[in-house]
Amino acid sequence: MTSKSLFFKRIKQDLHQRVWFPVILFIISFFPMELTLVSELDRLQHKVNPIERMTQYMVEFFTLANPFSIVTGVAALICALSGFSFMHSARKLDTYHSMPVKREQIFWQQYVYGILYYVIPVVIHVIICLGIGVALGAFRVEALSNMVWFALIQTLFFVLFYSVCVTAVCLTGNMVISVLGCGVLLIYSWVLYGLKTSLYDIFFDTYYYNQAGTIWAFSPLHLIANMLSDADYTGFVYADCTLHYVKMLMQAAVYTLVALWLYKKRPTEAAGKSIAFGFAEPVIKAMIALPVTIVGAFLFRSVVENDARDGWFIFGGIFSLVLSCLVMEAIFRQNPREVFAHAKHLIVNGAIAATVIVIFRFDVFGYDYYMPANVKNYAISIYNLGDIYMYRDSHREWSLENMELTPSESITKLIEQAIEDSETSHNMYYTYEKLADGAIYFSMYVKYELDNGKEEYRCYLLNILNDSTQQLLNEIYNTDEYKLGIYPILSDGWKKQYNTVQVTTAYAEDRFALSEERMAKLIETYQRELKALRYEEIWNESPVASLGFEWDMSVDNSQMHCYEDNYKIYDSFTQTIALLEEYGCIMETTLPAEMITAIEIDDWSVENYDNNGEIDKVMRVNYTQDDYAKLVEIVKNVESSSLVNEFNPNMRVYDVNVDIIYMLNGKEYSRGFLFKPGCMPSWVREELDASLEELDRIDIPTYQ
Amino acid sequence: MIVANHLYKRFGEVEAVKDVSVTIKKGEVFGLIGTNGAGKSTFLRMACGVLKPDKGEIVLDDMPVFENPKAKQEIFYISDEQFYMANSTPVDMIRFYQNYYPHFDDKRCLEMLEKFGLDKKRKINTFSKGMKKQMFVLMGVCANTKYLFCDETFDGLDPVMRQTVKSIFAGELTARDFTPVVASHNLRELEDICDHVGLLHKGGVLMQRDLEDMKLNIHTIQCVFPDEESEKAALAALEVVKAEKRGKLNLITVRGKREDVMLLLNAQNPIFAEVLPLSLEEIFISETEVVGYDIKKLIF
Repeated sequence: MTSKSLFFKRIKQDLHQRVWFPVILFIISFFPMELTLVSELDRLQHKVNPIERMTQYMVEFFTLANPFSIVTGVAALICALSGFSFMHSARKLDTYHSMPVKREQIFWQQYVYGILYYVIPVVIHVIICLGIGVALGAFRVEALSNMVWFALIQTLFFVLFYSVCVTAVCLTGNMVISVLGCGVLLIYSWVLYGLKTSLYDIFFDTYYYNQAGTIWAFSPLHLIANMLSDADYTGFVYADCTLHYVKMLMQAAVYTLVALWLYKKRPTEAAGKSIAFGFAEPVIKAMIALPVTIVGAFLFRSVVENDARDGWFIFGGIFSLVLSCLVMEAIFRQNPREVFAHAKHLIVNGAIAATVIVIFRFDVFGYDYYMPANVKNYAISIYNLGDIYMYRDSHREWSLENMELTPSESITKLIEQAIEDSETSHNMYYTYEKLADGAIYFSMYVKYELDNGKEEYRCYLLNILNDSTQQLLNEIYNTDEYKLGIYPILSDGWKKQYNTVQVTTAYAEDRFALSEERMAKLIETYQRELKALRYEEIWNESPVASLGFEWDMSVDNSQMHCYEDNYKIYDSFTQTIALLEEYGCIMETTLPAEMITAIEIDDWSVENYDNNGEIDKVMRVNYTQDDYAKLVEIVKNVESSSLVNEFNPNMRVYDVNVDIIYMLNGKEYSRGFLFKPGCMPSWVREELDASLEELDRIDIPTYQ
Repeated sequence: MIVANHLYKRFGEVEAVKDVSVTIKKGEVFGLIGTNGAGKSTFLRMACGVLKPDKGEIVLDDMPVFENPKAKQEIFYISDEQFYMANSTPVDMIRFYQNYYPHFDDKRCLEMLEKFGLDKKRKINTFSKGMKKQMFVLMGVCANTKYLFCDETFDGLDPVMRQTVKSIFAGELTARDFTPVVASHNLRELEDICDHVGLLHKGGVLMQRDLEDMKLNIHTIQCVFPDEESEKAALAALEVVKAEKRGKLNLITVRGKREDVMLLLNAQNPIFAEVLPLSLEEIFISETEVVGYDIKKLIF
């Protein structure tokens, strides 16, 4: 009998046995599909522009955000268990394996039947939904395209989950263990990823969380989480996740082949046992016991926040290890009385877990002191240095991705200093608080691009007030390479087709469109002056204005109209300021006191909390035109809080806020300001009754 | 012909089959006898390709069996507890087997089911154990395979049914190339069915004999000698397996052809001598006692 004819003859019999599966799937699918669609479309029918809204909903309904994926995941599990559970019955296996047909053929038959039982109901549902959309006039071609994508991607999810579950069933010998196996395989790499991240985060001071190159996502839920994370970023657009689909498809293929191999190699007599392959038992135990032990240790450690933490950590580890090993032994032996059948497994797993913890706890491999010799390029991002705002990308991530610093002595010394500072500031998060030793730590992120193409990341804490650090930063910042790496406009200023600028000064805001020619001239001028900007200036001075470059989002294929990249203008940018004024921009950097309606000063540093932790007293003083002289003095000594020098911690005193309410061109504005360092008038201090600590901070001298 | 050479199969700590070599010739009913755990089922499961031997080989008409559909197409295996699909009827199972066995004779099967009083549309799970066994034997016969492996299939069948099945086997043996292999822990149940018997014990083969040969070569004789001298002379001349005396009456189990035995016996002028019919059970007792086993403890 040919395989083909047997395939079609058998499906009838298999369907006879498993008809409940597609039927239940079909019924359950009504809820997230037709029912949800109809109820939402009905709701939208009563809104403004119903057809437009309904059409848009139809398009969005069939995106990756649709919760039908949950049904798909559960269906895959049930389908795999029902289709391959014959392996758990010696009776069934004796019959199937005595038949004149190769095991491979039995496997493929069952495998394909399962996929068909899923695909057919789903396709029917999608067609019905399409019909609903057409009937209500809420249809456009984009929705049809999404529907096709939806069916394809859901099938891909199904095949991925299904192949993993079939693999678990082939590895095990009874239903309960199969379900547990499915659970483990579905999330395992995700758990490992979380565990690895936690270990690095807790034990290594210089660990930098970055997703790239962390751990191989071999579990479907991990893959899908990664994809949804990217999809969320791109608005759940199918086409943007192509790489993820390819990964999923490849993994589904690998899992399927592994399952087939296991099925062929699986001894028939394994039916009913916990694990089909005896040799795999210690490996599986270790795979489960190790993460459980480490997670348990962390959980117990988090119970207390004192010196006893290490003790709880050890106790938690041992407790979790013993518990997990005994439970697994009881499951594998299928007999609770045999929990100590393999005590040596427990000892070995304990030894491995202890080794792993010791490696991390004592940084055996010197992770925090890592300084590779064979570095091709560095990328360094320091908190607030080159402070700009970028649409979409984090400035830090952009810098780390794009900066290419040639190795130099200054860089090596700066990193050595950062390693030393990180060790000194052990267990401390970066802070603006000045410590007793006169140190203020800022985070410094470094990417090492090695000669072999590998990339290593570290996050250090750098004492920004250290003289030698200042010297090194001065040397590094003033290089073209560094500026090119932190200011995107120097490299991609021409790529985004900027068409509008927004200039914000302390008292005014102006937004205007520019012709291509004018924009080019502005960018060119700004680039030139930005390149000439010296470290001393950004350390000692605050920007006088911010310059936002905007571009239409229609270029970027998005729903919204425009976005901007925002840069700072310093006093030395005379040509840029002149050009902006030439373009008609109001560069209002000072304000006559006559225009001020009122000034309100709030002192948030006062630590008067009631028993519930609520602030019950906020020190506030108000000044009006009646206090004209005071207004003049205040205005002279403040700077815009949105333009304050973010990089130099001595230039910022956030706790005392100054709100200036003023009239400009017939409109009333309110802007936030901060006192310049050391410039708070004594009468304000007295009236505010500011704390001594706060006053000390205000009086910190600036770096020379 | 099925040839098994030095088969070994281990399940964890248990050595289920240990160095088993058996030859099953075409056209004979082969009985595989042994206690529970002797390795009969394991041997049959290896013979039909369900299990893979750890060591040794098993070939069917010069073809390896494991993962060889061509060889397995000639085998129909009925396990101790044969699988049937949930809520299925005999008709469903016929369709099921038809998918795999191209020569399955469904018409004949339906006729035979009717003849045996088995309702073709009744759910199998409502059948008694014996009825299920009958049904599967009938399906096995109608699959028209050369080899039919029955694991404990005859245990529990009533004598009439066993006789019927025996006659079906006989019919098949004469009509076509057919070799049934029947495993049982009960020797008495195979006595009237088998031509050839293999005795398994603790995973190994104790012996393998043709039943007719065994019956022709071993006899129990009831006799009375005139004096002790002639009795001693007779016993010395015969190949005695076992001898008992009840008063003057001697009960002697001897090897050899009946004519030769009687010739040697008559040479001592016995007062009375007659050959008694020997059951398969008695033959086995005698045979295994010779090799040092107390078969009563093994299989009865």
